[in-house]
Amino acid sequence: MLTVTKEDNGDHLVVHLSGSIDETVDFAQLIGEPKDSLTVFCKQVHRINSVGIKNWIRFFTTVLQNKVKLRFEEFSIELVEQINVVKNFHCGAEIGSIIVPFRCTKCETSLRGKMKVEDVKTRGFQIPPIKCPKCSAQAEFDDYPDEYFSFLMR
Amino acid sequence: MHGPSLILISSRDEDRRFVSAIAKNVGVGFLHKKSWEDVAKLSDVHPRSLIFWEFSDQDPTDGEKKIVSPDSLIQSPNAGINRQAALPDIDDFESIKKFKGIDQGQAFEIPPSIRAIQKTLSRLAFPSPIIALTDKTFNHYRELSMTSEFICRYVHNNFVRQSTQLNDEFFTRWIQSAYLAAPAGIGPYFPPQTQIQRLLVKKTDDRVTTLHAIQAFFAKEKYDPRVVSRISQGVDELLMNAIFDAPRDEQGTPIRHLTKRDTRFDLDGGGITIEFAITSDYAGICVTDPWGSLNREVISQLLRKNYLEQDYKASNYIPSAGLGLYGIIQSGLSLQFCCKPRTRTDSMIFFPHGKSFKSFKDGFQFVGCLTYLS
Repeated sequence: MLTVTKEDNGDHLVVHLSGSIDETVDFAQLIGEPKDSLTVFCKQVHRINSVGIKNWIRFFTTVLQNKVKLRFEEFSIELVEQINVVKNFHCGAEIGSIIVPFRCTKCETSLRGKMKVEDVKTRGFQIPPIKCPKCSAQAEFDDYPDEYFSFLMR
Repeated sequence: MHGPSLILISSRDEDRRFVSAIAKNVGVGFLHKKSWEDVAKLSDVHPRSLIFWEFSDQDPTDGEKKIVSPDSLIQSPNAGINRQAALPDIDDFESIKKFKGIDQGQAFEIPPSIRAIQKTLSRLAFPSPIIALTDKTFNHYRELSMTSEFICRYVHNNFVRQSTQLNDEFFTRWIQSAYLAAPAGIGPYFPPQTQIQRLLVKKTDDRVTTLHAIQAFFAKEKYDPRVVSRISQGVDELLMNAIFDAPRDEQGTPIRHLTKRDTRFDLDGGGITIEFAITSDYAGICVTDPWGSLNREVISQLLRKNYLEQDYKASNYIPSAGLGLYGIIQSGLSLQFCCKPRTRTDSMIFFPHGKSFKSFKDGFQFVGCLTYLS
């Protein structure tokens, strides 16, 4: 199930998506028709299946065809994994920031951190470790940069 | 005639070590050849032999190229089990469907190496399935998938090498089960004492609870959360295929493929069985439907897609996305189909133990499709 929280600022619509995107999701009903611009926050999207991908591409392609300025923020790990295998998953829209996976080298806790896409590129796709909130040890980037950031390298 | 053998065509030492170890474990012969020309000279080969073919090193630019228009490409509806029939000349193939992914009117080249191999295979006395050994999944090798006839008839499987050791134990069982017997369910792929978990999906509403149960199982086994997510998604896609794409009426006509995917109903045919099992090295999940309607050509088409080269276009006319199997392969899971026509289809995913995401990614991957009649 997907929940959508909307902030309607006149011509600029901001939505926060949370949950799973599947065959039950009707984006047009949940989001409506944005007027001038739309920003979609996605970090709480934890699952998307193939029919969900289809619905996503169909809806956001239409949004862009209607000349709406579309931007994605906090693209969740699950959505990053999709754009790395379906090249038009973002429908050509800008992705401002993404969620990046980390794993603590000591307690092996899986962690997630947010990074701006421009920062990832500026760093040459080399992600510095972060501090584990659980044990204070170092948590390292838990993937291969040329794979996780492949959509930025195209 | 000698017993069955595993025949390797490769110049890579890693392939020789891998295939010879499997052959020894399975208890069959091992033949190492450097080229298809050497294979063509073989005689008295057992019909249950398998060919492992190293494909990543192939040079598709060898020799003279032949330009073929898309309309002359083939998809023969009868290119199923009868591997003994000689292949017609490639220029005489009738066009039944346009090869997906190729723009209309665009000419492209059939590598002469593929043509030569087709001719070799048509002359062989034994209809051996081919297992392609590659560095990436075979949808990255356009030459390999250009002729759907070749893929459907011969290249039944694809092992993707990874940087670390391939799991000899698993592949030993895989070869034993998949080719030396008619397997049913997940059991044949695991050691005899392995506990098999079973779930029954009787209605569409059971799908979500089933996925939660599988997620909980693998989370309890300390699998990495991202790996659990991929496993769950893979099972979801196989379940949707079994619920919507597999069911047939008595004439073999699909009865649910145009049903909207959010429709709720009791499943036809008594339901779908899910089995899953785990060892310290690998795990597997089998989704079994009672229809046996697997179409190898359709599967091959779906597996050949590469949405990094072409845009995905959402159809307004069919409810399915056509992305499920592609997503399973791209997520790093191994996929295996076993089908007994009009009786059952086992759709299976296998994966190395995934306590860390990188160990999962560095593990084995393969794609396989087996149809058996008895």
